[in-house]
Amino acid sequence: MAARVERRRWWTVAAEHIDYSNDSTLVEQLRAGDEHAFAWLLDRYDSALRRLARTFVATAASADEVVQETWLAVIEGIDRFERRSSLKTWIYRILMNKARTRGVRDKRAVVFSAMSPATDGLGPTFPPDRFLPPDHADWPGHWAVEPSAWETLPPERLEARETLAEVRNAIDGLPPTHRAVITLRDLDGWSSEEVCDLLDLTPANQRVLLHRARARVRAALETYFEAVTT
Amino acid sequence: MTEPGLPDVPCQEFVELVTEYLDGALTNDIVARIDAHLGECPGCRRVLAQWGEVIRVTGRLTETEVDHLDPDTRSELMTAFRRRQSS
Repeated sequence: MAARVERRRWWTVAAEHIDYSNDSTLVEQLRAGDEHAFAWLLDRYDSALRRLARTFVATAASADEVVQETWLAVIEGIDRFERRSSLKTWIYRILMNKARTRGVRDKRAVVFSAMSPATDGLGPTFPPDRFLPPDHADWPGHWAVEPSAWETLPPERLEARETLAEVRNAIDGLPPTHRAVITLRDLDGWSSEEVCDLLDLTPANQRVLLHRARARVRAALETYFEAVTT
Repeated sequence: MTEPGLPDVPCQEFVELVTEYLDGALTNDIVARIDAHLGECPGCRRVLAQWGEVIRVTGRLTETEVDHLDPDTRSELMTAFRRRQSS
């Protein structure tokens, strides 16, 4: 232990003062062998990486392995990282490649693109019978049955554990690409550009996938709220 | 219902555009038509509010689904990181 401490370079001693959220600092520190930097990276991304991996592989155990392989590839490859993307994107690309390889091995090959809304089987945001018919004299395409007002629900209802479980169920029932998009955008807070870049989607297609994923969650919550309040 | 010259956006169309509307991905023209429609349509205002709730509640999953890296795996990875240094 003592030997290891002595081998550390002077800057790792003051690691708690280093701003690892700055990509170029972080990469320098990783290359220099700063253990705090690597631990910071694990804390920052491991759970999000596993969350995304689970959308693409068959089991949680497979996802754990894919993420572990990703980290080993990061350790192995950090000297060759060319900074053409952010470190985050680079790590996630490695994850996607590992997940693809794993998908093939598990005979659960995931097609990451080619997910067209026309074929995803999710249907429109609201069923057509919620609206007046197109030939309605005054209000074609306007509400026949208006959505309910969630703001009148007891505030604790929206925060309840059961509500979150409904959201999780709805997301888990989505096709993988929809799941990946809503996970990155709404759970991990990625921008539209970052998601398009990682998943090779056009901005328009990405938004359609996100919209349809959110629509599924909304519909699940509506059904759930109706069931618990009537 | 809406300003003269602004063709109304039927509710059924608006509900397919909410994400693009919130992402700022629509043209000024359609945004103006949607804004005019929202001013008149409580049902679509509810949809917009629900969309906000969906996004907020979905984001909360990260609080409840805390998924700590298993300590053995973590220490294996730290060891692999150290080994890279010494190799």
